[in-house]
Amino acid sequence: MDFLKINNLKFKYASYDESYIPEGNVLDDVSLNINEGEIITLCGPTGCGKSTLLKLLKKEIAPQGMQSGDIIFCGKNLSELSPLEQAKDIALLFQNPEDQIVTDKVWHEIAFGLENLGIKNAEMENRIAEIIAFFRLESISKSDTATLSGGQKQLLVLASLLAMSPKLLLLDEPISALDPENAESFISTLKRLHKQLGITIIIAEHKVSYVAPISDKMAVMDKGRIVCFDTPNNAMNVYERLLPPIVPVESKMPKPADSEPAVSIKNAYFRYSKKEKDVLENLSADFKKGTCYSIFGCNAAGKSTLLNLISGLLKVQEGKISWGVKKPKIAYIPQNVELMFLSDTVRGELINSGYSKDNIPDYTKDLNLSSSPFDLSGGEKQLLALAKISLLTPDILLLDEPSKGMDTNLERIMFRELNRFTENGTCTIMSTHDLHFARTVADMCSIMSMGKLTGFLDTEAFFKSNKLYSI
Amino acid sequence: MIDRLHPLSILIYFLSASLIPAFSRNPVLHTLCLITGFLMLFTWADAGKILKRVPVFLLFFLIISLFNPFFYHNGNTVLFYVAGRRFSLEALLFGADSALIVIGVSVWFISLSHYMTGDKVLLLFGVLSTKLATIVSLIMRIIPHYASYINAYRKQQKLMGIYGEGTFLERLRAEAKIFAGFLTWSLEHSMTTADSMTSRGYGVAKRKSYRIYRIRQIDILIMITSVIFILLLGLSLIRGTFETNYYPVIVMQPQGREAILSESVYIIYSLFLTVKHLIKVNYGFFENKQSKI
Repeated sequence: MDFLKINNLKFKYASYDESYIPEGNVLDDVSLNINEGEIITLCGPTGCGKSTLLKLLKKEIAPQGMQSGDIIFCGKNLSELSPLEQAKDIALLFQNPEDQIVTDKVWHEIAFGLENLGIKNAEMENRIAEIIAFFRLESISKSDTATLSGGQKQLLVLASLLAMSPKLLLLDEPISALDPENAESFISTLKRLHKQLGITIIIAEHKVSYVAPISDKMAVMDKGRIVCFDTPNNAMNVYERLLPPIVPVESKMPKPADSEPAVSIKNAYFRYSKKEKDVLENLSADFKKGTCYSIFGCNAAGKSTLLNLISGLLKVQEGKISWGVKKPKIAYIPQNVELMFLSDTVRGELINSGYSKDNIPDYTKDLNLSSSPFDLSGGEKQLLALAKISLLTPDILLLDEPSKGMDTNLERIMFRELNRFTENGTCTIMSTHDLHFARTVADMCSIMSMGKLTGFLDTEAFFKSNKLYSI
Repeated sequence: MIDRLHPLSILIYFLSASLIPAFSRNPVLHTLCLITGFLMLFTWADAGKILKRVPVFLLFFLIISLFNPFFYHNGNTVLFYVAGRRFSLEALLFGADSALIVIGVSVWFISLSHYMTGDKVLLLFGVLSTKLATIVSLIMRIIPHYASYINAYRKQQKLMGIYGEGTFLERLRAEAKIFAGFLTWSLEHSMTTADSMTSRGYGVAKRKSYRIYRIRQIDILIMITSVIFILLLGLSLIRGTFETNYYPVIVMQPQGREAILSESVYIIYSLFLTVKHLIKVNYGFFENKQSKI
């Protein structure tokens, strides 16, 4: 008996929006057989239907629409499962950990699912203790959930799902919102978990390089169909072919060595409160016009703080930041791009930022203009944010993790657009963990550590001279 | 150790120690309340910090005590006249007694807010209703989350030139825009939260609150003594044997056989409030001895 069997599943969204009627089926004739204890990765370009497929496996939150075909879970049709069985046996983790956390304390979050099932106190206690030990949450077990970092939050969400001891774990882009450090640790926890419990896991993710090594099989999806269901190695080849061909990045224009500085920082100090340590400690740097800078460094190294200071949102406490022109036009795309959105549709956002109806940037044409900007994928949100500031022709462009949540296709659009900015004389400063992205787009690179920036080096020289920060 | 007690017994203990005496008008009880309140502070705060607060309490004491005789002129023992009005000893003492209540209760509440941490409050809600506890927990989670978001959101929008300057009306309009944007954001995101709750079985079975605190013998003991004390005090209040009359002359009730009731209240009250400290002190002493070995 198969553990999970999907037979000729077709799905079409019910349209509630007159102006946007989705064409064809979101899922078209999807069939999959999954054995107990397997790790399956679903991948494919944005909008291929992988998230929809995952959600259909969880009846309670399945999207509205027309569905045909069967989903057989442990020998039972999914629609025959009782709500209690559904909740207990199938767990679903979403992309953004922030929204999934329900309660204010770590221990309570783990207990939440168990409380819903009405389990006895003694049994709850036992399960919670086990989960806290397994996920090594002891030191934070009584903390407020608001004080956790993004990586800790995602682990907590996973932990609270597993407290209910599900048979099937569905992960919807679990690491897209995480930086590489946290993504690594999430994946290694997943591996440990699988080894210990032998639980069946289905992961929808476009950061394939992280999940492929731990997967037994990979399903590649395109336009609602499964085009390949094979070992990770074979499937990767198919997946690569689906992506648009790699456009060789135009060789960057040689930068005039003596272009004027757009921002210069001299001996800057900054800390958030009296009792805390300095985040910036005697930091000095010059950023020139028409150049793209990339700043690396681990979490909490102060990269975002530095961007905030350059933008003027924060003020240095000692030292000086001076801008090349008196009132520079500064555009800042923060790590949480949603902070930039004001309207309830994508079209509204674009019109708000000065575009006319027929004159929107070409790369936004593929977006669903009448949907809410919050419904876009992580990468698409970044593109929309970029479109919003494009008309400003800023002197200084600040980007915090611009490649976050982007698949390869969107990344390439981002390269092109950033290059265009730089050519027009914008000084671009970005903080990123994504070495590949930075190598393609940045002219100069530096590492932030202990409150200082290391001297900026030419990108090629930087990657040659560094042993750990290299590709 | 008080922080090891069950939240319910902490609540009952603190309320019976502070609020109930406040209902009576009896200076002896109020003085006891104040003294034990200060003793309670010593169970958790540094002596230095407590001493720092003493001048503030003294100041309050003086203000409240003097406030009364300036406005109430009853009382037979006139000390002096202020602008032709009597300043009587009785009114002064009445004020002093009120000051004792206010300070006594606030001293107790300082300790209560120290011992009643968020999750203890939550458990108390859980005793009342599981649903209420979930809602409170949700709110406690959402408030800091929303506050930090709206803060960052305003800064970002200001940077993008959406608002910040202009006439009052323009700023108001911008503020409304920001708020609308925040509402959209919060609605969108609460959908995911709702999905997360549903997918984790919210509503599929009768919900049970997970209790991390358990009732011990000492909790039961404390709750029973609290209840006995409250009943005794209530009885004395009803019989009126416990009240002190200030006007026109001070008459300390009760006299004769009735006094036994109120004296026993004093004794139980002070024993009840200090025995806990004795346990604590001994326990601490014992602990130190052990840790030295």
